[in-house]
Amino acid sequence: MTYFLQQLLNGFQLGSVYALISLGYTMVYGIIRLINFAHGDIFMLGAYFGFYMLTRLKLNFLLAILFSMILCAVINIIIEKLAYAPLRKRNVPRINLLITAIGVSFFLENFTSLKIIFGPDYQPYPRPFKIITFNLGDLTISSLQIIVFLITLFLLLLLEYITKKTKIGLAMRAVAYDKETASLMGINVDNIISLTFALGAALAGAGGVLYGICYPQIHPFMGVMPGLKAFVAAVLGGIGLISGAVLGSFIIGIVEVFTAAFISSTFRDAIAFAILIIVLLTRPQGLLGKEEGIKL
Amino acid sequence: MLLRIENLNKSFGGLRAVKDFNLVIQEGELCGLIGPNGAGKTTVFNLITGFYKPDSGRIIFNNQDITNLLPHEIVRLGISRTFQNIRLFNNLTVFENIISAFNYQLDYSNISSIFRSKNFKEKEKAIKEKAYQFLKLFELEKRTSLLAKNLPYGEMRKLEIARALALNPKLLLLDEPSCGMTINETLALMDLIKFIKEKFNLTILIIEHQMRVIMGLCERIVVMDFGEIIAEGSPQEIQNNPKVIAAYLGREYAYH
Amino acid sequence: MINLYLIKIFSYACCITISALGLNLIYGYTGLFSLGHAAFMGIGAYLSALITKSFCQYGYLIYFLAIILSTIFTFLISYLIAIPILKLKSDYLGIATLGFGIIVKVLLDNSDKIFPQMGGSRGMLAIPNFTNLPIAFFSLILVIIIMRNLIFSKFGRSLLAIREDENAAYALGINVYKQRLLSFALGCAFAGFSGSLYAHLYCFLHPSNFDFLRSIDLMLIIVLGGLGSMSGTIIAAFLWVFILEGLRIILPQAILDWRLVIYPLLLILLMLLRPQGIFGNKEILWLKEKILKKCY
Repeated sequence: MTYFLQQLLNGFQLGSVYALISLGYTMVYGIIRLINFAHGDIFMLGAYFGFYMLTRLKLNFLLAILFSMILCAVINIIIEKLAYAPLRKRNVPRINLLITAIGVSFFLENFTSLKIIFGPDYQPYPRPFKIITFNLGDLTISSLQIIVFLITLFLLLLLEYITKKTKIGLAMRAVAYDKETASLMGINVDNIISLTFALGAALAGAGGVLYGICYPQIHPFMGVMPGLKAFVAAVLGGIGLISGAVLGSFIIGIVEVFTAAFISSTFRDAIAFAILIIVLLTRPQGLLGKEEGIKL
Repeated sequence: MLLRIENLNKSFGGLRAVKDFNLVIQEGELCGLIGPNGAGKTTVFNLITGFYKPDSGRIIFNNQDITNLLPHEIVRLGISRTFQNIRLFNNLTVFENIISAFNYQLDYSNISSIFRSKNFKEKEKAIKEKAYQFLKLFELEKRTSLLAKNLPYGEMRKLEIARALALNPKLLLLDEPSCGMTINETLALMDLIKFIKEKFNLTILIIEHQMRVIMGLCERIVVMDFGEIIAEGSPQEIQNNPKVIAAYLGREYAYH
Repeated sequence: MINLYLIKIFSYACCITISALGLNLIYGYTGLFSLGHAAFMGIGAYLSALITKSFCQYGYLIYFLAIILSTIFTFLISYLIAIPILKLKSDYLGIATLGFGIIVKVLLDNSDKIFPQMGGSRGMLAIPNFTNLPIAFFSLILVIIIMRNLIFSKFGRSLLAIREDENAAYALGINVYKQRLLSFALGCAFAGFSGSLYAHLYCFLHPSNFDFLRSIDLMLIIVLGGLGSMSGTIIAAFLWVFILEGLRIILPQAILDWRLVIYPLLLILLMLLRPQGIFGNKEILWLKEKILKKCY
């Protein structure tokens, strides 16, 4: 029982990080129907930015997260303006946008692998604070888990506030629902799209730093699998929905940890996708998604 | 009796789109289906052609129960349709659009396609010739290599009707064919419909909003509102029916 | 020496082209977004290698038999998988096939637990070298002929109709679901065929040869060539293989890693400058369809 609860906590920890990545996927998909393959690499960049700020600049842990978030947001806006916006303007089919995203992803991964940039080797991540463990009966809870969870919760609530209670959030939801009409209402669609990219990147950046601290090995291709799984989580919960992304992420995180703990570590990647396929076949709109009908 | 619809019902969530719909269509009829927007007319078409499954009721075509058949099976039994918002294959040429309609009548196997057997070559040549003659019938033969999306609107409608006819149907369902047309185009359309009914020995059920088309073409009219039939009869009877006027014809009548 | 190397690369290009033509059938012509194509190559590759390694005393006879059997097996298995999966809509189909690809890779990584000769994540060694240039080349010609003859027949026309508008295709009497199944299975059979040729070319198989990154490579090739153009796929596949290899030869050792940075930048540039791909949807030479003269 204790082992079960212990793994549940680990699952929540992993799920929190996935949630931070997954939100970027779901928001970008919701607004321009793009599966942003490069998002996992923004996560990776966040981890590296945090690394350099913690080791070279010896910044405070929370400041490192904050600056990492800002840097990732800025980079994502630049990528959006340079690579995606020009294609969107020309009304190209969606597959071209997808290929561009793949190109950006490959570029980020291989560029950062160059020895003069970050280098291809695994880098050990610093632990910027002392980790205390508490005991609740037989259960061991580490302060790291609590901090990860609290930071994630804070960022989620912040996002929820921005999207539901601010005018800009309303604009974001309007554009996601119907781009053309939103522009007729005086909303600057391009800026809203850039903002969406920025918000998603900021969250992924925070996720990167947290991931680095929890699982202290980073390397340029570290974003591939977590990115994919976070995307699966977003689809599982219902793509385009913030609540869906969060729910899906925790499910995937917990399932992955349980698979590693109770079955075998080698199957942890496959299990997430197997679950996804089963859910898609029975409920294609995702767990929290709404069914879409076509008008004939 | 070619088509018999018995007690058809269809709901979408809480909305009852079609309620206790009963209709009989005799062979050779040209029957009109009218009603305000949202009355359920296109839903009836979708139910007949198998795109929706009814919640209850039966559809009997040529003495065969087609209620639960799939769309492509219903086509092969002899019902074809056009769509309200033209569904041509936009990025294919006019010729490719027409010849896709002849596909299901071709009966060579894929293996003979791969080996280019004599059977295959003969059938392909025949079908391409047939498709070309068909286009000629509709005066579209000069447009064969034009992409469907680049056709003028009136010709798009013509192509869609031609394509539906290429399927060799006994019953043709036309969904608002004069939508978006000028008066001249509409008159030409009416002539076209009369022509194809003669030439192809068709029974036609047509959804329309333009009164000149309905009154000019149809022998019998069925009026729907809120999913139900509220009146049925000849054009004269419908024009004088107070329920119909109240639901629909009232404002329109002022223009005529 | 350099001649042997070129011959091998050319044979490899033939294999990749066969697989890409399969994906072109699935996505370019039928519009089915499949991101797991490389997994079917892997299935064909590993199965054929198992057969030839177990019965290598029969020489070329068992080689040809192995290829035929693994192609048929790939056809059947992809058909079975397609039955539930093709009910999903475009983007979800992509995710499901992506997931399938990852599950296959994980299974291959653990394959040595059941079939020790498959080598699991250590890879499968010592596969007899039966594939030579004539075999690879004539296989490619065979596939091109089959594809061309199928495309310019009622089968090909129904696929194009389905890609353009599924509902209109139904209304034309086309059994959309069944045609999609057939197209998918056929395309995957080509992938299996190509995989079995590949296995006996480089004589070594590793699960990472068939992971989702390889599936993405194939997707890139058919988009770059022009979706729905056989000529485009063939040219793009050869260009892709030779340019990537070519860059490896001409770039000096010091900046060799930049090869993988230049490649995605070229990709992004191509998407910006020529989104319809090299050939758009046109064909050249004998691959052009014979239309009635008067239809011009």
